[in-house]
Amino acid sequence: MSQKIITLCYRKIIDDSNSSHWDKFVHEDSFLEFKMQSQFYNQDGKYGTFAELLMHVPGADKLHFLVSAAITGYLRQLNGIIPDILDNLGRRFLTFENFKFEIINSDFNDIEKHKVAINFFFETIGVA
Amino acid sequence: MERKNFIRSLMIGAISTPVIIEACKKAGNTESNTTSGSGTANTSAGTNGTCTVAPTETEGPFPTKVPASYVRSDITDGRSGYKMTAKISIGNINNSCAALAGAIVDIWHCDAEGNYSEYGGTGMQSTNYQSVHFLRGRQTTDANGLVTFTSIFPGWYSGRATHIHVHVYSASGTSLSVTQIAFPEGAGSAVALVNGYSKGLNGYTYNNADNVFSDDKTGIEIAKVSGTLAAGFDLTFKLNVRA
Repeated sequence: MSQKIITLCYRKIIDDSNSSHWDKFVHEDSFLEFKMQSQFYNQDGKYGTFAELLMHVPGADKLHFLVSAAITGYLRQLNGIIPDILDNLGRRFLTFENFKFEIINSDFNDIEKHKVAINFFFETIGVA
Repeated sequence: MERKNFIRSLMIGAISTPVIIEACKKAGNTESNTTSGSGTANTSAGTNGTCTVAPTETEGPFPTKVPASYVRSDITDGRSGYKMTAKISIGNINNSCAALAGAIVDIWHCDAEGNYSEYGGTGMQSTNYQSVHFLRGRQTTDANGLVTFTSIFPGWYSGRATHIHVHVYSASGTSLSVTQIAFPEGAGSAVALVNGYSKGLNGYTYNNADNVFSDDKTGIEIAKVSGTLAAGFDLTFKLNVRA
């Protein structure tokens, strides 16, 4: 009998209201990196938000990838285990190797509008 | 489920807070080199062994602040190619082009096959977090305005001459300059020696046909590049910005 791989995704959303240290570091550092890198796509300083850049500047969608470098150090600190999801004993147990970071919304001048998501991917084996 | 998590977090808070306070006190004592003890004896009885689940470390190791993964001198990340050391110095036009210390310098370039690190495809395609930002780096200039990166000699892709992207920021992260570094060409040059890696140079775009460098008639954007395939290449470039 052949086995099929099922890939599951856990999507963690982080904004100004998250209170854990890890979440706050991710929020603050991704905002700083966004402010730096977005200047490449906003060299005239015409735009104020991520949504405007996406709408008007070709290639601005690369900012998801470019800003993700600000948070990969925090992913390493997780030691390959997804946060938040606990087993019956209260332990984190789901491992991940792959991720995708996304900027949901941001404003260069207002960190409170900065909202990001980290999608954690993990594989499990299902029976055919 | 929500309620369970909430209660669990309360338990962890109640148990870990005294531990944290205790840890701080110990550190303080070590520094001040006092010999008196700290804290008071805990009179509450242990409850271990009762039929409850002991709360475990749900947050994992306490997180610490880390810089962006760009901050490193060696940006190779396992990409194969001929070694290249890039020394880029930043000068300030508003100060007679004297060395600008404390500036943040980002560089990025393509690999031997001509590909940049980026998310592949569209939608929900995922990436391994260990080496996703290959051939991208960030350094802060020293007192001589200098940053040094270790990398591989860039490959090329259709429509462009060999190049390295550079973005210079002030110490506070304000953009000062976005530019590209071009490479010298012709017999004996590094571009000729590397010969486009496995692609060869058939269909290569030279600087004078490149849409970025073709207006650079005096070669101000062309770096000095020396070295050999065996020993690797050294690139030096001076970039002046308004700071």
